[in-house]
Amino acid sequence: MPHRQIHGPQLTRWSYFSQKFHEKILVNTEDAIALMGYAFTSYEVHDTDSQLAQEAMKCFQSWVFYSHRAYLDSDITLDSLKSLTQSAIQFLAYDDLYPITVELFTDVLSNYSKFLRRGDIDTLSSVLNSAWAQERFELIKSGDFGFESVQFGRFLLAFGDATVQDLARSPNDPGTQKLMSMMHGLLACEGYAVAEDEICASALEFWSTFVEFMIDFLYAEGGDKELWIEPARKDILQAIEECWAKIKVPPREIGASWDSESRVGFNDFRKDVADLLQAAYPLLGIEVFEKLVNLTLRSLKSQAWEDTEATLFCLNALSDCVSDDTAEDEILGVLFGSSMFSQLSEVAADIPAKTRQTSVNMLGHYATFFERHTEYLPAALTFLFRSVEAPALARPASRSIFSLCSSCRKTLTGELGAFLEQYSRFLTTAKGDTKEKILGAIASIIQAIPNDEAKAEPIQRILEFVEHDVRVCISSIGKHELDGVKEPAVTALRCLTSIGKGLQALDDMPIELDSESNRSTFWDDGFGASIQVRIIEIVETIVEALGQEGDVIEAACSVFRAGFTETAPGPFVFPPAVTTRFLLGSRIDTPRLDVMLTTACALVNSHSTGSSLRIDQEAGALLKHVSGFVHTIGDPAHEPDIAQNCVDYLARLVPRYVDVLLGMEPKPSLEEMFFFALKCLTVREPLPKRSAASFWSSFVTLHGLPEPLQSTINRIMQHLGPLLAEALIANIGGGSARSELDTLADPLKKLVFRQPRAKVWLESALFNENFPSQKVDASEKKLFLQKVMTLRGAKATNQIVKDFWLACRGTNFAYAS
Amino acid sequence: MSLCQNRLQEERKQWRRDHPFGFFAKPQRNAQGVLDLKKWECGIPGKEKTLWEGGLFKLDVIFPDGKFVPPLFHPNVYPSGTVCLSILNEEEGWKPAITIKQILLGIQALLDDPNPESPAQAEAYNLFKKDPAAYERKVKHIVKENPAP
Repeated sequence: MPHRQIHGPQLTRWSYFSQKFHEKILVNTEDAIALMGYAFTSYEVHDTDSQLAQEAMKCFQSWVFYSHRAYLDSDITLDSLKSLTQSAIQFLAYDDLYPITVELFTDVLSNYSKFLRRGDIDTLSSVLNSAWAQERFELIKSGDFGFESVQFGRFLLAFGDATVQDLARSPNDPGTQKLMSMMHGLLACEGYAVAEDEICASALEFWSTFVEFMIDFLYAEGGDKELWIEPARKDILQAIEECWAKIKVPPREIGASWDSESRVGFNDFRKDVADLLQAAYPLLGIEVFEKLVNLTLRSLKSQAWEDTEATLFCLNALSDCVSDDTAEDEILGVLFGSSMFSQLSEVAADIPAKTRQTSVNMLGHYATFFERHTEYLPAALTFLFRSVEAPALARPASRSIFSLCSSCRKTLTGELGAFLEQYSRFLTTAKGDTKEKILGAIASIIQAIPNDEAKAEPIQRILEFVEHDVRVCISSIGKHELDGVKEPAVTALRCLTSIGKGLQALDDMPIELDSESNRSTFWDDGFGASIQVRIIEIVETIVEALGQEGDVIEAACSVFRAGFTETAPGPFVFPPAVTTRFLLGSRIDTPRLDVMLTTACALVNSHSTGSSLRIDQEAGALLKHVSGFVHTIGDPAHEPDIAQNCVDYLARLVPRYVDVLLGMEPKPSLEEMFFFALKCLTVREPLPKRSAASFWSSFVTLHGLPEPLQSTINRIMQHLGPLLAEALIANIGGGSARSELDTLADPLKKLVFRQPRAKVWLESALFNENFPSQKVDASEKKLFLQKVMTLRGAKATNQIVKDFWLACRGTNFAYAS
Repeated sequence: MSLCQNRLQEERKQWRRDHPFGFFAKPQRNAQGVLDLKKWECGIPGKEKTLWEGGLFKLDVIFPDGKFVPPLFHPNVYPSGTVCLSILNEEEGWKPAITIKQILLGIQALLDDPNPESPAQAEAYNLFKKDPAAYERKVKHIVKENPAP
């Protein structure tokens, strides 16, 4: 036979082929098998030139891939092809044929293991148990990550993956034990994970599959669990130890020499190990936890900092898995009660930054433990406060401080003085976000002080810190570039917000329902009121000096918002008139005006629940202010973001302050606002349209209100109903974007359900000359109207609206829904 | 096991075998530690050489929707944190065959290339349109708040 290429079916693996195509190919099968068989035998028996055998192997690969395709497409199994498998396996041991053969079997094992018969699997297994395999295995284990070596590793893992159930079910079989030991070995090759070791990530995949299988099995009914679970646990524990060795961070100089891909890859590997640990925890339980803690203690003792880091990293990964059982708490107590914190905070010791960082993160992860065991808190917090002073640790340490203080606020009230002292130490050096977090942390402790009077003093102290920053910042205006001044100003405001949030009552605290009568007036007219004044003064000073800066305005608004969610009085729960006064200071050219208006909306919102205080006067004043903006803008398309916020404000007034809305004077301004809200429905910009749809939905629903309010509303609807219908139909008739239809269907449904004249209005809009589409005729419009009316506002209206819109756009507009 | 679960199991396998650097995606576990393959906890890193570089943003994918936790400041993310996956392919809409990898890569690309035609939250959208410099500052602040490990 001449040495020509033997062609297998040429095809893309993932494309779909018809039955006919397969029939055409199938008639060639037997000939092809005969040819390939001939080539294989000649090489095997007569040791002929390997090129023919190589071509035959490539051809076999194509046929196997094809048979997979044929199986997926038409359930065709090319069983006769399997007669060649055994020969093919033998070629793994032939150097010339190894690369192509190993590629084929790796692929078949990973994607189409059904192709292999029991006997094939057994043969592959004995190949992997042979001296040949052992030799290859040793190569990769010792750090040979050449192409062929890695190919072998992947082949081995693919075999493990395909036979994972067998492996788990026959722990005592010598073949299994040999294979499992190789699976372990692939996790423990020489070299740093991913950066050097190219196989450990794939090996980890195998172990994740193994764990997943065991977990599924653990929760499955029946079976001879005891027999397998124990050996599997041992294997998994060992795998975790192997991973542990792999996640150790390299010394700084090595890490610094890595490219970004290696760094990211290494970190990804660590994350995958964390995943494996979490997945395996239900199986391993407290044993692995205890093991890790002991390992930490040992590595601390020997000052093996990379080991310490790796172990703490694993413990962090488990923080969400461990329960608050006494047993686990006891183990943690041993660790947190050890010399760990004092050792890690020794400045002189040559401790890698990563080790310190992981230990800092740990305290945040285990915040709830400290809630239960406050005796360990002081050491932990001292450690964190020391860490804050190191620039690289400032951010994670301040986060952990916040998390711990917030969780354990009640037990820390006695330590307030010390905290304030600590804070003042790094006031001048700390970065903005660190200050924010720590002030928030201190504020959360103050929140836990039971009586308001006692809160005043420490609050004053932390305000002094902020005031100090503000003085420094304001005095440098004119001396520095604007950016250099703006940043500390924004930071000061963010610190205030953080304090405000820290002082918020916890969600899980009981609300005193009968507290109205004995409500504390300390913050309204007692000494507390003067604290509120100080806070406002800080905000006003900054806004006065730097109010032209959008970031300043935004940060100032956040300070006011910090008190909106509170149900009881507090230092940040300002009188609505004060907040309103600030908001009324906005002008059309105020930067970030939208944020001012959102804050106005939030203010009204916070006074809209049943039991909240009514703020008619403030709501009215803000409404007038908003109407001024509406008048200035004229067309919503000019300033879509302001337009949206103005309409949002109107929407917030419905239903609680609808009397304020309708009582607005002069009446032409009110009318202007309603028309503005209608116009917003027809602009191109989606956000004003969305707000307007929401406003109209609530407005058309108003009913049963006391007179003369309801009559006024009815009159307005008589007047505006036809226009509203027209605006909605203009959208639904093809004018809007498809994604807006659900939003627009809402006011339509409400209109149909609530307004007796809806049908007349809609009909007139459908047959109006402004109707945007020529593609639907009168009968289609009538049918649409009929369906919508019959549904009386039911949810199915949305689909009718979509269908009608599609018809109006024309059938050419294809959009898979 | 239902067809959907089967497909998701395969999805999990594919992801393990081949996932883009810096991303993570794992099915959530219920109280017993059993995987719920319809709910995935994912992390999307900001793309290199963009404003979002250095950040890692957590996203819960509950097929077929994505939700940033906590809600992300971005023009195409709703105030609730939801991001409509249809936005990744407006022409064709979301298809059940789309893989988690495609979803996450799509959202990563969306981070730095918002779709102004489909605003979802006013805050980020308005800033993006009106004051790009302030938008950039804010994004950088958010990246700092959500650092990649």
